[in-house]
Amino acid sequence: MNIFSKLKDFILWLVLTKKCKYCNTLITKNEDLCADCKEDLPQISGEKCTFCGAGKDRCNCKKHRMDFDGITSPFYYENGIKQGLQLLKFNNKSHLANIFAEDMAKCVKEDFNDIDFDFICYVPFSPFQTTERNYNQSELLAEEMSKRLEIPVKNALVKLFDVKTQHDMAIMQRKGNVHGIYDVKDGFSVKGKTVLLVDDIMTTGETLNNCALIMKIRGAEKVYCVTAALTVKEKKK
Amino acid sequence: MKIGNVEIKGKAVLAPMAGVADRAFRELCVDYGAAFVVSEMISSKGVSMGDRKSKDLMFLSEKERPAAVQIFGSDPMIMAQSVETVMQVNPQIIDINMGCPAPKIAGNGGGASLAKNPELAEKIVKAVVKASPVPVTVKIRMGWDENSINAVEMAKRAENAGASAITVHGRTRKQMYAPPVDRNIIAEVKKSVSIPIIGNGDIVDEQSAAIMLEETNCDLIMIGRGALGCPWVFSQINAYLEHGRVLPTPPVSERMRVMIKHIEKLCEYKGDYVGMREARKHAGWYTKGLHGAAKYRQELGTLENMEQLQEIAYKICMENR
Repeated sequence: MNIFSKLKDFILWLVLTKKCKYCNTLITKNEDLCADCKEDLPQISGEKCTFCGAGKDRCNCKKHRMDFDGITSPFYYENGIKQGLQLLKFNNKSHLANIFAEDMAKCVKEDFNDIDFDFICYVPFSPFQTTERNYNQSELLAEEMSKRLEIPVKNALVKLFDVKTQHDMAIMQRKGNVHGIYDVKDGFSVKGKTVLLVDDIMTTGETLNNCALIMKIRGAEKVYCVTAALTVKEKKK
Repeated sequence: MKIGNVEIKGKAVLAPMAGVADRAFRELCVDYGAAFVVSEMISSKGVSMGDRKSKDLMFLSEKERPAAVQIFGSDPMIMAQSVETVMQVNPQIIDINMGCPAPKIAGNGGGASLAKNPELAEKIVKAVVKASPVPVTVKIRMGWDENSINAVEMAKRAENAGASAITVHGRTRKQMYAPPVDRNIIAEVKKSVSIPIIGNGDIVDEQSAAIMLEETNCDLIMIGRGALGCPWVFSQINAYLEHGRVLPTPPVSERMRVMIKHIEKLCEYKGDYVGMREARKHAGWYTKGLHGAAKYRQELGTLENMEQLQEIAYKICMENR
């Protein structure tokens, strides 16, 4: 085969094939989802646990009262959803923000339908993280949701340190840093506000908890959270 | 139910508490569902002399309604005269203080000492009722001491003189705030008059509110010290009495949020200097019983500014996770 027919095949390959909506696997043109996602999409449905947002059938939380006033999420962090969110986070597949935001907005409309939000904000990157990545996936999700929900997005939070390096942990301890790693942006007022906080994934809830807590300490009235997916701890057998 | 012609929704009333239940706290309690609130007590003599302190105390904002202004004194004429000035802040009710046990008040012929002089008490009520365009209520104690328990007589005289409701605190003046409240006396008063009775004493949560109502058959309950540091108790009482629901205590972060909001209001209304100093005791109530509270008690007792408060609040939240 010569180079032209190889090129022709390549172009045909690009044109004729599609990617799965969530996990980006190649699929045939007639479908939206790949076979796995079609059969086994880890949707959260039915009655939800008010503490952790998981379905009551799968909730395994200790029913700890969180510092945020509510959490909603369309998916569990599993299978194709997990794949897709990793691609969004690590592989620059920014178009996936639009996809997930659609399902997230639907959750907000259903579960938080009678709440009047003042603004949307997102879990921020530290200055170091900003240099490492092309975009903040939670920020993208927040912006897409803002369009759908018609609520303004505000850059309300800052992340002061990364806590991964010993260097940063030492700084925190030395400064007696009591505000942890997140704070409300200097000059930004959350007083009396009802806030919708966005992140890509909720694992232990600690990040969302810390962000909600500092916003409340700074005067926010209510903080509700929405993530694209959440992790459920497996029940010990 | 109604007190005079004033419609009252809900069952739990916030007590007058001098130096403590000020505008900021009263507004919070209204937000949480208090049926009505009562101002800090105001000296009728002070009002009539144009005294600055009395003037400052006499304030009711639009956010704290329905509201009563409470006046104290022992001269029927001066008490009646003060009504005109008091009406400037547009209270829905005027309450007469016959329950304050503090020596400064009860030692001067007013407050709880009026129990020693029921005839004078009746004259005062009559004079105030005549001068007042709004319903007049009276707050009394069980009696002066254990040998002179006369709440029933006081109540009947008040009713006779035209009072629209009576609050009964189930302790004598001698007992101050110490021993457990006597609910029997409140039940007896209820049986002896036909105007509404408000039961007061030792109410701290929905259960004690329900017990007071059940045991005394009173029409409303009044909560004072039991609401300090926890204004959400009004929501809890309402939820229980109306729907039998027991609302859980708010999480620590929510409590700290309300504390900060309260103290911000205090500073807004009274300025930073006075606000932060008054905040100290409120902060103590809000943090009572929480992990780490003892550690920060000293710091809270010398609170100077909001940054300090927010830092302590944050630390307490982290320690109570």
